[in-house]
Amino acid sequence: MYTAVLKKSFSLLVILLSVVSFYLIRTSNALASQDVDNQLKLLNWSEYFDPEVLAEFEKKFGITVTETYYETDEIRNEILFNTNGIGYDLVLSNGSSISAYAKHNWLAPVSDQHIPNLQYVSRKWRNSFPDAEQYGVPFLWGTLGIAYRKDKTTKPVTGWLDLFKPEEALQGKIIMIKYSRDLVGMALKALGYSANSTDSNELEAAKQLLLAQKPSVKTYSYVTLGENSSMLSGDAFMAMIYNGDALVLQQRDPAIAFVQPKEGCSLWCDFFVIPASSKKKELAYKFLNFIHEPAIMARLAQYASYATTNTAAEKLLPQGFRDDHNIYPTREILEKSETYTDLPPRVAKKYNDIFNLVIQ
Amino acid sequence: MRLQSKIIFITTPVVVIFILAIGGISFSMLQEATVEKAVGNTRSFLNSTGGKIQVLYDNAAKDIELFANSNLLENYLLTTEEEVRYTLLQPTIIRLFSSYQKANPNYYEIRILLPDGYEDTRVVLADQPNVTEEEGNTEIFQAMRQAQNDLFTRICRNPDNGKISLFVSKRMLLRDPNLNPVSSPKTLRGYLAVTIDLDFIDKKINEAADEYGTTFQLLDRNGNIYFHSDKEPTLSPLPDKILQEAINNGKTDSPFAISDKQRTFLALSRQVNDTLLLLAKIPKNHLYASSYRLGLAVAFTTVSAIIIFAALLYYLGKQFIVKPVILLRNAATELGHGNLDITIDQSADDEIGDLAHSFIEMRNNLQQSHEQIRHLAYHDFLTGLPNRVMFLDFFNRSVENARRHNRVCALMFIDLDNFKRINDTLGHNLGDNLLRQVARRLQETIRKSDFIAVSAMDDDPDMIARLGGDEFTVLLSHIRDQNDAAIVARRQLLALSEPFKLDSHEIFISVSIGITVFPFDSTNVEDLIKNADIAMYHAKERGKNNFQYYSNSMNKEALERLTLEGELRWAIERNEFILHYQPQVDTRTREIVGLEALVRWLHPEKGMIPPKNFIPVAEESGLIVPIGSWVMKSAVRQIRAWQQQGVPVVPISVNLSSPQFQSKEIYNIITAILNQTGVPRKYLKVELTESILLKAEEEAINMLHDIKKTGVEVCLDDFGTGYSSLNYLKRFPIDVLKIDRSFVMNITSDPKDAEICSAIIALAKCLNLSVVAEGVEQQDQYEFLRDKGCDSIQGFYFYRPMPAEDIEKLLIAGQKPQAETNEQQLQ
Repeated sequence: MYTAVLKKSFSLLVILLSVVSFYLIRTSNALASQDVDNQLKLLNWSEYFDPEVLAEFEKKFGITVTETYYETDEIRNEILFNTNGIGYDLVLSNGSSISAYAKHNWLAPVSDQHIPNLQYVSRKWRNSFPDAEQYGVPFLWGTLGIAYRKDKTTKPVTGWLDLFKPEEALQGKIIMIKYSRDLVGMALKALGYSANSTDSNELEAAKQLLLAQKPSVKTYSYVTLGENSSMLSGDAFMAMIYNGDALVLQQRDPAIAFVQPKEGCSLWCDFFVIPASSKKKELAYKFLNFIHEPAIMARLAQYASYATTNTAAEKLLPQGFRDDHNIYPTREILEKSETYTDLPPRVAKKYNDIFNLVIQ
Repeated sequence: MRLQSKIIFITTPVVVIFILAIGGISFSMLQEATVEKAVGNTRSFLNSTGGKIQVLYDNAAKDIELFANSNLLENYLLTTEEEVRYTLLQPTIIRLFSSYQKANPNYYEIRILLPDGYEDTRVVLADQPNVTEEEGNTEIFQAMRQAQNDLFTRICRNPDNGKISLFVSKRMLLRDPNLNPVSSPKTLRGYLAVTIDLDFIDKKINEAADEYGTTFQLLDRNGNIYFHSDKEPTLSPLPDKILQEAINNGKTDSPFAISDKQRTFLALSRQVNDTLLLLAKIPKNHLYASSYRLGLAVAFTTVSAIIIFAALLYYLGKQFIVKPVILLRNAATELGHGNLDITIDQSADDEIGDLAHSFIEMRNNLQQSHEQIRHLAYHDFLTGLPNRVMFLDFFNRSVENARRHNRVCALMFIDLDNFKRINDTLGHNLGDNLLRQVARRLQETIRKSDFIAVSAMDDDPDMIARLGGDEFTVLLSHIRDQNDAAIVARRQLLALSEPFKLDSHEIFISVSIGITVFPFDSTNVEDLIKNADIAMYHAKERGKNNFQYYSNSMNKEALERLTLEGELRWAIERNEFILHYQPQVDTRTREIVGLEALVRWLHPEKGMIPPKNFIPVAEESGLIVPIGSWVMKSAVRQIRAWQQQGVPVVPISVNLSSPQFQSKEIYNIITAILNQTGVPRKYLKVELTESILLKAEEEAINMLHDIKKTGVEVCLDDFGTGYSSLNYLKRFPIDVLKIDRSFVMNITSDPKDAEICSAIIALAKCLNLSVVAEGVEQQDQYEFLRDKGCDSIQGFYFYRPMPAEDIEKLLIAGQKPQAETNEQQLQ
């Protein structure tokens, strides 16, 4: 309950209130709960982490975990920026943000010494993003695709253009992820370019595609996965979505389908990072080590319907889970897909400009 | 020039000058008001627009200070690594700037420029092209960098979109947080720049179009024009002199005149702030065009007023001056043509009314003169009688009328016998005098003709005219028969037989009269005149002093009448009249209760002449009076005689004729004879007809009262035949009503007559009068009257009129009459 309210007020604040007051509230929230010794503050996606596992951890170590949720990667960055990276003990970050955090001196390094269970984690994922190996503990990984209502579409949905140039029936029923790399990157993919393109012409084309799509978009945010999800209520028929979330929705309503677009997509991996300002790094290590217990990790992966980076845990997963191509994409999709690389700063700026134009 | 035109030519200029003066004054007032209004409107527009621009400046300065104070921004700017800035932090800054823009949509571009001019962050409202991210060498950046103050404002064209925009920027001077927060110097981290949309100014000055085509410019003190609403650029660039003037007047708001090569303007300027000026140009030609339009309207109104006035003047002049004058002129023309019956409206209370009044006076005088002239033309100078001309005219008309109404009329020619001799011997003066007297006497004879004329109301009066010399004509335009003419003629002969007094002389003359009667003699006017003349000569031939009809038969008849009249005179002297009496019988007892005396003429040669044959002659000749007296006296004497003989007498009724009644003599006669004989009054009754009462004058009525007072009863004869006014019964002292025989005659056959009789009897009873019915000839008549309550009966059913001897026997016998068959034949 508490988190839900917080999340709600959060989005309201972002949109409606001035940044100054927002900043004050955030700071005071962070400060208000700082000085409890056995408390671990976690900045995390919502509906991502199995609460039972969390409860087990709390029980086992006598640690209280307080979660703060963010809605998009963008908002997470903003939260951190507003507090200058202070106030959290653990942050779940996408891989591509780690290097920036690190450069800004927000992160504390992690190593196998602190977290023995890192031994189970695939090397491939540990260094899949710049600076990730030094600062990040891989968690789950996934792809980006399109969730849609089979009962509301007339044409088969196969590629990104089915989302960016939607058919008439989907006008105003589309939800797009409010994250610059996902928005611009997938527009680039839709046009056949690299999701990490630095070419200004390609970026311009992607911008035009996004602006053209804008009138059809219901909102730039992220689909919620609960029973009140707009995809279930009929307020939205199609959404850009991370694959596991789509599977959660599918479990709630079989009319919802998920597709990995034929152009390929972004391959992402979430990492836990420990802010440099955290005074409870030891607790954080305990937490990270705990979740990478193969059995625990297997539960977490299944809870969120995402692939895990823990190879030992992978082995504990049911065969059906491991064979699900929506969780473990086919080689073909994987080959066409990309992870986000660090962009040259002034190109990143361009991504920001495009993003701002589209969402404003 | 016509009167109408004169009025208009005199009055119109006065009014035109007046209206023109008013028009001129109102024109200049309108023009002044127009200029004042245009200047006032423009001034208030400049004030409001200038104020708005100033507010924009002020707000922009405040806002940029506020934006610059953001911690986020400071953190951002202190972050040196581009990678961190752009991938991690910039979205937040962008979000911040976006929220500013949402609150201030005219801040269409919010940017962060780095000290080297690199465009670090640019948030625009919509997708707008960006010419360059390297602003280091742009004019605006150079100006920004070199500006004295941290806060920098300038209007210039935005190269990105080509729009004149307001650039507001703030130097971001920050201390490095890693260094000593107090002593370390602030370093320049960049510029916060806001680009502000000024379209509203353009829109405002272009929408401010008034009816004068006023245009506006927003310019700076260097004469750079940023916005203008000129259709085509005029005074651009603004000449220095005008610019200086605009700057000088920018604070005072007073208008000043400027001009370019083609046009002149009324200009107003307002200083917006240290750099900006608003300039308004009101084209004078347009400004005055509107007042010229007003002037045109005034002129149109003026002309209309003049036209309306002239039309009104024309109408009023026509109605109240020209029309009456024309009417007077027409009347004068009519008068000139001899029509005097013109009428002129004199109601106007002005000179024209006076003129009309004088005109009517003149007409009246003219009419009088005309009348005199006509009188002279139609009347005899000597006697004043109508002359021949008028006579002929009148005669023609009378004959025509007579023809139309089937009347009888007579023309008489009267010629004095031996007038020439009188003239010769006595001289013309006396001759003329005589003619005048003759004329007067003749007129009197006509005036006395009332009993001859059928009606006094006759539309054709009788006329006497003098045709010339001693010749007169008399026209009797409406007579009953030819004999009436003889009566007049005889009256004239008689009137002229009286001696005339001429100075000391007393002379006798005679005339000869010729009479012709329409339609018996002729129906033709000329013939009638000829006939009268011929008849007149006959009279001369017959020895003068007489009259002659043109027709012999008429002469004969006239002669007979004349003879009868002569004999009647003799008859009185010779006592040839006798009295018969007709008894009146009491209805109940059948006893004789009265007698009516009836005169009879026993002619020595012709025997008994019935009253209807001589009474009219007696009346016309006036002999009725002596005859009536005789009857009265004889009747009273008869009573006296019977009384002396011891015969039981009953009252005797005596008829009074009209002339008798008119002359007061009758009262004397009655009283005298009654006194003389000593006969009691109750034995005498007088009978009068309704027609006599009709003409009765006050004196006669008094006399009747006197008679009544002596004890003689008054009996109203022929009741019901005349006007039968109940008023008689009130005015006259009547004792007895006599129902006329004409009613009694049909009493049994005509229910109406029966009703009338019944009514008369009932009336008499009511008034306490006794009723006698005369002409009762049959038994049923008698019985009817008896049943209705009639007092007494007179008629053949009981007795015819009888001589005194027979009556005497009856009275003595006291016998009741048996029946008609027993009566003696006396007629």
